[in-house]
Amino acid sequence: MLPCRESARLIAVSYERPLGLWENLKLKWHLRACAICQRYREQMELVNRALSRVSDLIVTDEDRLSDDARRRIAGKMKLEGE
Amino acid sequence: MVKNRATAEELVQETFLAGLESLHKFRGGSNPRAWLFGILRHKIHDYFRTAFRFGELERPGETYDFEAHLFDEQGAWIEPPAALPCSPDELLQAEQFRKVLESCLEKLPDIQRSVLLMRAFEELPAQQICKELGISSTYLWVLVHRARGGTRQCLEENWLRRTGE
Repeated sequence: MLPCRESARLIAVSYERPLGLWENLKLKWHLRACAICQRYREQMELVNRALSRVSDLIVTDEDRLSDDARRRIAGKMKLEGE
Repeated sequence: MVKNRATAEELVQETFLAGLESLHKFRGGSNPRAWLFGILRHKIHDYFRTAFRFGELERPGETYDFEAHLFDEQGAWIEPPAALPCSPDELLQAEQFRKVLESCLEKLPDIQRSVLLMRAFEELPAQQICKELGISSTYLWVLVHRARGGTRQCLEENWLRRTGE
């Protein structure tokens, strides 16, 4: 059977490109029999889902422009516009 | 994408100024927010490309022995990954999970966090990122995998294992 390390590598690769037919089959066979690699895949899936909506998850009021920065940018734009 | 607040503010300022300069190119009826975000994205990529070229960003090695520290010589797990304590939907709603995710992303080197977000959040094609940052596709792969693997491991160590205890 495919070593767990190779299975984990294929899981990681699958986020960057579609797996080939043979790679896909090898991974499926492995995952049917290996609960540990299934956990790895669940974790990677979680990371990917979290990243895909990262701006909803972690952007807070502290990340917004400060009042000082707003004033500074508005001042620069006024100067440039004149 | 940019960790340093002063740099982020500077990029926003440059975006507004560039927007002002090219206001004549803006088509009425388009979404001004999306148009400005487009400019901002180019500014961020320019910033990384320049910092990368001039060695201001940590540049990890170009070879990558996939997650070598997690496996023994036979390729078996040294320490098996922890099971998720609840469904991904529930986890994504949890305030504590969001905090840990944020700190995990902050711990990544700038260039790794940036390419990871370009791929997983902006969903930019690999070819476009390579062109914009002036890096090879092999190196992009290395950076993205280090970043994705680093985020997973950080979440496991700081959230999954602790909630499972």
